Amino acid sequence: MSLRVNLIKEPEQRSGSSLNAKSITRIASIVMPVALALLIAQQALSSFMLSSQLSILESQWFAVEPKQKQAIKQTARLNFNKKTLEELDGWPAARLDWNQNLAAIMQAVPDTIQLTSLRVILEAPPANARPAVGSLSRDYQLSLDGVTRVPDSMQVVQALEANLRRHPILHPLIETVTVANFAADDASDDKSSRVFTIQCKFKSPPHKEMR
Amino acid sequence: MIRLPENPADRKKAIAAMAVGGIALLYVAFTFGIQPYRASLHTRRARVTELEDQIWRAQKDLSSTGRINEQNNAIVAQILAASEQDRHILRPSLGNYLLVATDIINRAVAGLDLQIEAINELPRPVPPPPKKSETGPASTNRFSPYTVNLSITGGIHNLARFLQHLESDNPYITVTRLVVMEQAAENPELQFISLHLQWPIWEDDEHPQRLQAERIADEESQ
Repeated sequence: MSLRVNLIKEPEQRSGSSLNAKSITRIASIVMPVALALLIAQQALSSFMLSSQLSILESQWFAVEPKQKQAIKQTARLNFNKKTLEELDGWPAARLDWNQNLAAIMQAVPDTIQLTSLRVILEAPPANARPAVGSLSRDYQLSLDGVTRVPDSMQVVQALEANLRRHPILHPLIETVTVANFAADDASDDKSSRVFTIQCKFKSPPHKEMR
Repeated sequence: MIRLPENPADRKKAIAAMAVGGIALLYVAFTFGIQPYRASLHTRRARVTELEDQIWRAQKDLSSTGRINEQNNAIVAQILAASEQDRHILRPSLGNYLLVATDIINRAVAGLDLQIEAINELPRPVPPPPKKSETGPASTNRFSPYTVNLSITGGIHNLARFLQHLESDNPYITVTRLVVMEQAAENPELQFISLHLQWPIWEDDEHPQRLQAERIADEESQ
């Protein structure tokens, strides 16, 4: 049985390895401050570069900001003026040329019919109502009252109805044509005399291409 | 060089004190050094990104300025032509629209066998409250209708010619009501006519002057 005796006091004991605690401490005392210094230098450099980039961008922004404000103002003005022009263009787009329509109605009326009244009204919205912002809507309704004193008065009135519907000027504008009234003419002694009312509803605008 | 105490118990105490000191130092460095530094770095980076984005947007806006100016000038020219040059938008004479409308009607009826019995102004509609807009100024109509009622005696063919004069001269003038009635059975060519004629007028009468002023200012700045 072998006996191992260590006579070196514990504080005086040394490790056999070349990497002892003292050398590690010595290396660390040099490497750590150097690494820390490098890290701080790198951070300081990146911070300086960031600050200088920020400063360049700030000066660029100060130069460009008033111009951009002016450009935004100009765009707002353009949009406002565009809406003004759109609203203005809504007027001819919603218009019916009644000189042409009257001429067309006259052409459509057979010789055997005498018109007693012609009424053109705006169906909706009411005459003094204002259109919605930026849009204009005019829905016309035409009402024709007349009298005919021929034996085949029904055919004559139907011919007028058909003429109105087929007339090349009126056809694209008219939505419906109806004979609202066809009756004996009480005011006339002529027994073949008939009074009638024809109503036409015009299509809602726009009828024309806007600018 | 600091020497640690020889006594193991004292050495442990010294190491513990150094560890506590080290941790306290790290805490102080982190709280008052690293953390504010990182926050400042983050703020500056965010500002750089924001500025880059703003400058990019600004350059984009600026690149379209020329095109926008051209478009705006063309639109303003069209509006001013309709309003000030051609007078298609009814413009008042010393605040009076009826006088101007009467002149236009009299010019259109000249040479026609139509008798204008009366020209009356119709009450103007009350402007609606402006619509609130989130992105721009309150949305309102720029134009309002101005309507006159004409009482005419004459034939329907002459009426068609009268309307042709008016409608071909002004694309904005509109017939909003028309009643043609036989006056007497003996003379079917003579009718009583009631006619509503409508023009657009500026909601804000000074708007065309402002447009002109803007146009002049734009021309001077270019």
